[in-house]
Amino acid sequence: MKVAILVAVLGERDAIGTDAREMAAALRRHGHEARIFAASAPAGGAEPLAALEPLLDDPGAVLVYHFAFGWPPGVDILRRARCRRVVRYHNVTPPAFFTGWSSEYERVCGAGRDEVATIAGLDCELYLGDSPFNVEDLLAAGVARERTAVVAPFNRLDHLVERPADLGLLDALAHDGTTWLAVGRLAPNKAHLALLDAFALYLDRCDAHARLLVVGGEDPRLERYNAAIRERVSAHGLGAHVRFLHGVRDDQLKAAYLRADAFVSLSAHEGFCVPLVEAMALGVPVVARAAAAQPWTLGGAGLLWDEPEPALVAASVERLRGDAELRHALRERGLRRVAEAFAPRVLEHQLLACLEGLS
Amino acid sequence: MNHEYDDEQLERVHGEIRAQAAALARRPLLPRSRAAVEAGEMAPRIDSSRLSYAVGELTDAHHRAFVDGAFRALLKRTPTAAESAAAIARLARGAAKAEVLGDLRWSAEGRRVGARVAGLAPRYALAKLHRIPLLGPLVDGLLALAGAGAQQRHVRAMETYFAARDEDTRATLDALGARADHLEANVALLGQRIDDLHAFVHQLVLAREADARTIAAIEVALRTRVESLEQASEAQRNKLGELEFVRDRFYAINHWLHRLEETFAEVERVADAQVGTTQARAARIALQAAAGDAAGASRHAGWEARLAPVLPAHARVVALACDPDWTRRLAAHGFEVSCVQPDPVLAREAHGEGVVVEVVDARAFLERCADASVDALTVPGTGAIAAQLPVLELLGLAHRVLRPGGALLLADAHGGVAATAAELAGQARDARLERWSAALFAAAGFADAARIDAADGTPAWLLRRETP
Repeated sequence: MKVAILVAVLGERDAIGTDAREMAAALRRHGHEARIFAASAPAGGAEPLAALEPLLDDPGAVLVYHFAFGWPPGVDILRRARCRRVVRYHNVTPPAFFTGWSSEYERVCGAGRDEVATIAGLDCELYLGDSPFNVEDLLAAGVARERTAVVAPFNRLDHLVERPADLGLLDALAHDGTTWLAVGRLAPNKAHLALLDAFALYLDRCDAHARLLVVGGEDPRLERYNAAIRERVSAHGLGAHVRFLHGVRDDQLKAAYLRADAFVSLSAHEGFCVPLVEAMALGVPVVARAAAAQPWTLGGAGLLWDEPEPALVAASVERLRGDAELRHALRERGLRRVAEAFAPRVLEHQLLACLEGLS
Repeated sequence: MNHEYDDEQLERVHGEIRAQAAALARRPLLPRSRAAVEAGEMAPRIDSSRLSYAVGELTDAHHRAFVDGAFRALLKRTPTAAESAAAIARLARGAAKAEVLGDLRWSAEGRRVGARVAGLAPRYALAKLHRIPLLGPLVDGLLALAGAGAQQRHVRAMETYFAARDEDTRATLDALGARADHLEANVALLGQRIDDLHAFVHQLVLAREADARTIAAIEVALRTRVESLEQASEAQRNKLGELEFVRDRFYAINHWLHRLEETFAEVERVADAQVGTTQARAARIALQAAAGDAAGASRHAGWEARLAPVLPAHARVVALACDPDWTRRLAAHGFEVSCVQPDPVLAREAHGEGVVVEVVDARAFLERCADASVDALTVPGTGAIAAQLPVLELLGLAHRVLRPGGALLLADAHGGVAATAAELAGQARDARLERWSAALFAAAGFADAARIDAADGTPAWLLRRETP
């Protein structure tokens, strides 16, 4: 089977780039001809869009379009394609999350949400959601349920679990107090301000030596949000207790996970949330907000709260810190969840079953 | 530890956490630890989201902080390392901050951003005026003259500032000195630990060498053992070869023995057939003799007359080599008669006369009789059994089976015929009773020996077992 994987931007380590690359690798392992096409690929690994054209008219080929934000050329390609079409839907953050923070993001995300309806109307052969939450989005946009399926994003968990951590950073992060860890780019939907409020309460009432590690890129287009984070850090007097790690490598990310006592995600909107799976795979107990796809991804392997009340989050981390049995129970649940739902062989099997169903 | 939590248990944990959360606010505030991480990574900086600033906001900072703030405010980004180094170098060469700010603001990138900085334009113009030959130094002089008072105030303020900084610096140096002392102590401690580790490593090396020696000794012992086992194994293999040889020979001998047994069996079978033929012939001769014996009845009557009176009623009588007439006479007295006839031909003949006969060898019959269990033993024809049971042995067995006082009748009826038959069969004959005497019988344990020869001359003796 010829499979053309289409993404707007093929990142090296971001969730969508990883999904596209690993998906292509899985298909190749099973004897299919899989190629990646992108408008931009800073780290390489993709062919230009012009090379995609012959495949669009090949009825035996399959086009898999990774859709995560508004990109009119992608819609145009889908519309012109005469081959079988699969939309890989990673979800688009609702623009309301960026209101007051970034008009540019608000506009781009608004366009992306509008494209969901457009793509739903193209009547593609299959719509693959990262999670049931994403599929619900598609159903609301008018996609027929029988044309939908859930396949979690392909990941590099094996790579993360097997490769050694950065020992220098591991030593540097050695610490007596509780270590909270949050992973994800600095964006308003990730609710860093709520995270800082919860951490400040924990620092004041539970552990004066606690520390918060925030791993994630800072986006200049979200400077107002970045500034708000700094102001919140300053307002709570957290300067000596919060450490931001930008642009970390995989071995550095692993060092952060290994040093963490709890992984905290208060994000209000996630189409899947890969860091949750990384935390589970590395045995870090999770405290998360029961919002969007996070409850499904976590699969009962963490402490979930409907609202990110600082006291609940702080008390959760304190309970995890003091209750070894609960910690071990959540760790085992997490490892089981990863093995059953997100292991590469599981995802391969699910993807192949979906694609074979097309023919 | 039980790691399995079911959903119900997790729900209970959620409830307990809710209760803990409600109690958090009532806890006392903890004193903050400042050693958690290095401070300053996200320290408050110039708010780059604004587009309007006062020039003092930007010029108050110094050195790298000034450069960073200028780029964030005027270009809305952080400087690259090269840009930062260039700006700091300009400041080090004496460039005015207003000139650096103005160059950024009115650069192509700065114009695109369009940030407003109140009070910057005249300062920038003045800074640029200094670059004009002649006019620049003249303006500098005039300005210096005009601002001499302010400069003096500034110098006094700087003196106070530096004095304060000097105190801070001394305090910092003191703290650093203390820290250095602490580090020195730690280094010394580490040195001691390293020495300890060296000593430990040395011990490990010694232990490893000792282990290596032990292992070498064990290896030598094992090699020796292996060699001896190999030798033993070789010897065992040789013995096994010998055993194989012996086994083959054994099988061969066994085969020969089997063939020998078969040959012997064949020989015996032929001999038995020969004996059977001979015995049958002897029996026919004996029958022929009996049939022609007209005096048999009178002989039997005479012996009956002598024997019956000395026996008790219902006496147990054994008649060896009997003939039917003799046993019928005994039975007629009510005696319990056991008639023994080893010759099957004669036994069958006797059977036909209505007498119960036991077909067995005379010696075998007497050997199985209990001691002193018989009242009388009669042998009318000693010649017929002499080949199997000579008279001397017969006397011994009779002495054992007869109860004390029991009677023994010996006769040699048909002695001539029997002798002829025995000679024909190639057997010796030793039953000539006429040669015996009372003294000889007494020596064998029998008393009252009386000669009761028949009228036809057949020799016969009636004996009584001695009573102890």
